[in-house]
Amino acid sequence: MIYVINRVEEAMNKGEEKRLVREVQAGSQESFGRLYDTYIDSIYRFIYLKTSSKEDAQDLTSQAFLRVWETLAEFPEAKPREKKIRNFRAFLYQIARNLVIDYWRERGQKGDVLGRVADIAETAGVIEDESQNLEEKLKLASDIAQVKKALDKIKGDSKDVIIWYYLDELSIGEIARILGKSRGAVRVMVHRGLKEARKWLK
Amino acid sequence: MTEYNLEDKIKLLKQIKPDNEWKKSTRAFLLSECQSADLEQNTEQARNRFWIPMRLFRFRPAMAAALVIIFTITGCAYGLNISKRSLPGDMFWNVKVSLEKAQVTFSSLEGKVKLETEFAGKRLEELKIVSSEEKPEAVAQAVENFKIYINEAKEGLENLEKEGPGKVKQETYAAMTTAITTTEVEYELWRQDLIGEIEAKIIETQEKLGEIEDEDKLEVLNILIKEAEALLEEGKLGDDGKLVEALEKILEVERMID
Repeated sequence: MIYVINRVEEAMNKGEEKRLVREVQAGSQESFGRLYDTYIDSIYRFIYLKTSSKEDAQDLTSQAFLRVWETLAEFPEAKPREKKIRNFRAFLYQIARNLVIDYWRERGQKGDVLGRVADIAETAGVIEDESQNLEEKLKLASDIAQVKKALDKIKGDSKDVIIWYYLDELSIGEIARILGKSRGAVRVMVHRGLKEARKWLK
Repeated sequence: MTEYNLEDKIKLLKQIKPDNEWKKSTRAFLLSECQSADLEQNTEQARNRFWIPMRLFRFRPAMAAALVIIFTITGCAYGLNISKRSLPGDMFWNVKVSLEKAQVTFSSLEGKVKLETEFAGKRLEELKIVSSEEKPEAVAQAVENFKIYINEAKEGLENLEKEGPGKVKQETYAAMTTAITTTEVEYELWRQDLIGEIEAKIIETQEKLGEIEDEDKLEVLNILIKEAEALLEEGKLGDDGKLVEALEKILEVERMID
C-alpha cells in the first residue's frame, strides 16, 4: 500500500506546514524562519530562471518572502472561511510569479528574457557546489547554461510549468491552483513545454 | 533525445542555488522586519474573533481523540449518529474509526476478533459506496482500514487457537472463521468489480480519443491511458494501492476528455 503510505506521509508534511503557517499568522518568527529555510532555494531558483540576473533574483526573492510575512500577518483580520491559505507552496509561488510579471512589465518586456542570456561565467556564479574543481564546475555551468537557454525559448506559462513540475516537483494540482487552470490543461502545458525544450536541446 | 535524458538535463538546473552568505543575511534581515511589524493588534483581534474556529473540527488526531472521549463519557447520541453515517473522506469518518478502535481496545480477545471482523465488513460497505461515487482518495482510506481490521481479526483468531481448546467454543471459533472468510471473499469480489470498471473506462476513453483534435492533448491522453493500463496490471497482481492509482488516473483522463 505504498500509494496510501506516500499519501499519509504527504498529508503529515502538509500538516506540519499548515501548523507552521498558522504559527506565522499568530506572529511566530521562528516558524517563518523555518518556512524560509524550506523554500528559499527553490524560490530563488525559479526567479533566477525567469530573470537571468543574480542581483535581481536576490532582490525579488527577498521581496517575495517579505510579502508572504505581510500577507500572513493580515489574515487574522479575515473572517473565518474567507481567505484561507489551503496550499502554502502554491501561494508562495504565486507571489513569486506575480513579482516576476511586475518586474518585466516595468521593463516593458514580455518576460521571455530576450537579449539577456546567462553566459557560462555568470551561471558558474550561481552554482553552489564546493565539492567540484574549477574545470568540472565550468563544465557543469556550460551544461546548465545550455539547458537554461533552451528553457528561455519556451513561451508563456509553459516555461513556469516545466520549472515547477520538474525542478520544484510541484504536483499538477498545485500548478493548476497557481495558474487558475484545470489539471488537464496543466498536463498539456507540461507536455508542450517539454516538446519545445527538446527541440532547442537537440 | 529520450524523455529521461531530457528530464535529467532539466534537473541539472537544480544546481542553481542562492549564495549562502546572501541567504543568511536575508534571513536575518527578514526576521528583523518581522519583529518590527505590528502584530500585537492583529493577534488580539484574531483571538476576539475566533470563537468556535471551524478548522478545529476538521480532522486532526488530537481533536478526534478528544471527541472520542467526549462521546464515550457523555454518550452523546447526536455525535455518534453523525459519525455512524459518515463515509471515508467525510469530516467525522475518522472519529467513527477512532470510536471503533476504542471499542476494540476494551474488548476480550474473542470480542476483538468479532468486532474487527464486523468493522472490516462495514469498511467493505463503505468501499462499495465511495467507489461507486468515484472517489479514489476515499477508496484508498477505506481499503487501508479494511486491511488493518481483517489482518488483526485473523491474527486474533490465530492467537485464540494458540491459547488452546476450551478457551472458546468450537462453534464460536468456526463462526468467526466463516465470518472472516466471507468478508475476504466479498472484498475480492469488490476488487474484481473495480478491475472490470477500470478496464471498461480505459476502453471507453480510448474510443473517445478519435474526437480529440488537439494533438498535444491527444498525446498526453495516450500517455495517461498507458500509465493507467500499467497501474491496472500491477493492481491485478495484488497491489491494491496501484488499483486505486489506476482508478484515479483514468478518472483524470475522463475529466480531460469531457
